[in-house]
Amino acid sequence: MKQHLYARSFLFIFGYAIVSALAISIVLSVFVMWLSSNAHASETELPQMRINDAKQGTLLFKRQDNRRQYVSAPTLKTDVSMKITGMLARVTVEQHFTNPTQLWQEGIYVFPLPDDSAVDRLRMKIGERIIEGQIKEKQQARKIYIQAKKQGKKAALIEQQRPNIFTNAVANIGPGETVSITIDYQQRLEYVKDTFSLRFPTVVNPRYTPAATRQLAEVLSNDSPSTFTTGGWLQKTAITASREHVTLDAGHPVSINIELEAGLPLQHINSPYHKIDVMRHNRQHIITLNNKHMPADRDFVLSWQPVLNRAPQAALFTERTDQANYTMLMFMPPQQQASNAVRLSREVVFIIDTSGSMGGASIRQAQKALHWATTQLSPKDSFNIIQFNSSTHKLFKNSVAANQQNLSIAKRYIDNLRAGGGTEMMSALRAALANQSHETASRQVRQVVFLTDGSVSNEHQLFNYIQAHLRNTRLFTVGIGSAPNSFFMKKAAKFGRGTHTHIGDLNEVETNMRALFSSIEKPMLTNIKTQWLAGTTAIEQSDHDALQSYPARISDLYAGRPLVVVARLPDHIDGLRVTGMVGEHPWQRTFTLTGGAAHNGVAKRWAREKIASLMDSLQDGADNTKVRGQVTKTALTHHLVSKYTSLVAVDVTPTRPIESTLQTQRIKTPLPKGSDAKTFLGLPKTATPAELNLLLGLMALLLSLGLWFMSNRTTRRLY
Amino acid sequence: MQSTALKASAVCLLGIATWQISDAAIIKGKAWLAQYLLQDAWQKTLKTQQTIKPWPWADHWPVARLQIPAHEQDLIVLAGAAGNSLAFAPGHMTQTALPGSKGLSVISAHRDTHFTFLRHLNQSDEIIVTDMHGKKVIYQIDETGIVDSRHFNVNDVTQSLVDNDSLLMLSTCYPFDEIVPGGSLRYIVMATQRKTVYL
Repeated sequence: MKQHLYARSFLFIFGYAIVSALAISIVLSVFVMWLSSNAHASETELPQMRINDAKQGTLLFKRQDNRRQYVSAPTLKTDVSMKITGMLARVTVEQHFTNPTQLWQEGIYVFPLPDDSAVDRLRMKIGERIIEGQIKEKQQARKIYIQAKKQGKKAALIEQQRPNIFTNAVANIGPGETVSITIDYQQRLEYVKDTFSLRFPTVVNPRYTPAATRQLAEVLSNDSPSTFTTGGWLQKTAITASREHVTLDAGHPVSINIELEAGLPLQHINSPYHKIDVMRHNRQHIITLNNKHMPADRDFVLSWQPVLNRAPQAALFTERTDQANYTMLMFMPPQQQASNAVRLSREVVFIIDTSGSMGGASIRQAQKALHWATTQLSPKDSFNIIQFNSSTHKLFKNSVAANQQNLSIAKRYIDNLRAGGGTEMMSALRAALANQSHETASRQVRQVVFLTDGSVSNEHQLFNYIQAHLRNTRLFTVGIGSAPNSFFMKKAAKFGRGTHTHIGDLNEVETNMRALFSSIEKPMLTNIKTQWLAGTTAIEQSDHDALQSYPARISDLYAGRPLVVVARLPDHIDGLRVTGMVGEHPWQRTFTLTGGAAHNGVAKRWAREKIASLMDSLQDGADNTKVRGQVTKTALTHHLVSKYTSLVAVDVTPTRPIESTLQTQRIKTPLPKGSDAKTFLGLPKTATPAELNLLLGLMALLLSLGLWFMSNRTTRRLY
Repeated sequence: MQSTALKASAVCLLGIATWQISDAAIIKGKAWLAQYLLQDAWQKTLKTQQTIKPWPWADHWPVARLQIPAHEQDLIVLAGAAGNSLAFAPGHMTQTALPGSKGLSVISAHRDTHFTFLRHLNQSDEIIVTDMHGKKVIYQIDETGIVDSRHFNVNDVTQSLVDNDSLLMLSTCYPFDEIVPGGSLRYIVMATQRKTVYL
């Protein structure tokens, strides 16, 4: 009886549970559906979704036929060979574009070259045929290229975007086909502290464009061939304006092969960032990468040092062409120390770039450099630290004495520096240059040491400011990271009448900063003027159109750095007098221009220096149209790519069938090594299983109800 | 005998149904209810200018208010775009700029709770963001699009920004009607700052 009661109450509870579960389920599903429909409440007609074009395979795009598909860009392999003789290097860069897809493609590649490179030759290799490129005025070259592209002909176009950034566009690469583009350029070697060096850049740091120059950047981007845009959304939102067409990639392979003919016995050959193999072959050294290929993620640097006491103190190279005589003269300033022993007290202002592009290894190098630099201050000196990213912050309101207390404040400040944000360089320069304290004794040396990777695109505006506000200050730039913008570094130092140093690795910090600090104590030779001579008579440059010598304005020389003059000379000129000041004493030296080694490339060098000088004159307010005309004329005569001239090569016969369309793809430019921006930040997962739960639940509910009724029916049939 | 078996399976299925439906209800209910519960914390945040946890054990706090008048949306945004905060509200990806400030700010939410309406947003719709200091920033939608989260790097967009750009990206999973979660596609809405209003 009792058991029966238990069973009944159990059944009752069980039944109750079932009914309430059913009720709960139904109520909850109604609730869930109400919530879901709530979210849909504002639903109207489903708008046609705007699907975007594909960009670098990161954006999924829908084709007309509604099939999703990725398009991959042509792949790229680069072979570099260099011939180094005297003070010049002749470099051949071969870019092999392979189209892995089944579509006809146009590949556009943005690549860096040394900032003083004179690009003078383009060859396009299709199978066994080689098509030589022609130098044309920029717009004309673009027209030729676009026309060939439309006609289905293979074509290549080399344009200069910035002094050290070029684009190579190759049209009509067929499915599975490889087109090789060969670019030749010439560059000058660096010669600092008895060491020759040369840099081959492989990566472009994404540049930062301050808001004020947005319009300028837009003009720049409009300036690039309009047909190149793919029309992806990144382009439409104001982003591309400053993107410099740079897309990011892990890096494609680069091989390097160098023939070095130093002309001097060498002590050692060194490549700080890459492992190299050196082979001696008569008077030549053959240098190759140890790994054969390197990923294009940091600049390649090669340096070599003549044996002790054989470091050249002066050098003369000449080239005679049909039109004229060209001369390149290098000499070292007087080495005797202008050391009246007493070191002057100085004010040092450190500016450190803490923008986003400095993230990763760069900021650590900069911190180490700053730490080291502050230890070099004597208590007589005063100093300040300014950091900038989107905004500028000064450690001290005004420069303070370099005593223990202030130095330990500085130390903590440096430790806490973090990279992030924009690169508003102008406000930092303003902070350093604008309020030069009046009490700065005339005997006090004022130095600004500027640590940055120079990832800015408003370079010219910055140069203008430096030039206008420099006064007694000297600006020294320290390039940080594996791929600094060396065009900016060098020019900023030039307008700032200081020097440029580069730190590419944490291990280099101390050596390079030490070199900088020892050389910046005092310039060796100031107020430098040159005077060309015919016999003993001075020839005025303005009297002779044939006589053109560059640089037009010579900046102060610091210890261990040479003066290099490149000139086009009339026949009767046979001497050069250089005058200047060593400390407070006048100094003079006369060179006789006889002898010297004949050297191919001096004329090209001269033309490149002339173009650089003309472009610089824009900073002084020279007339734009006039400069444009002069640059174009010089560039066309000497077959050089410039801001106003481009190289273009077009195949004679069309290869692409007119009915197949051409896809345009940007080839990714690799990001510098150690950069934080390389890290991948993906969008989070944002789907709940709620709908799935509801669907499963409702299905189970229906099934359960069905079974229940079925079981009832079976029961009825049985009894 | 047969009927007992059928009844037993019916009961089992009912159990499963209840379990599944309650799960769905919890997800939807949490998302719906939390917006009311977060209001209080948000008002306090505005008043004190400090981060306020909505309930003592929470590991997130309100960072902004997101309004889209044209679609009658008014949402409190929490810090962090991981599951813990997304269950209650749209979440701000902490690696990106704060909503309403310079740079790129990314806010994500579930496609089937707070961001279901995302598919209905049109170009030039206005989005109003109120930050913790009460500053109101009005964004205008430039583009909508679909990206593959396996390849789309938010840092690429941040990298390419121009200084004064203030960009807002709303993201949610795509396709909206997919029943099974976990796909790699995302629907994104890009908006640029138009003007700033102070309260």
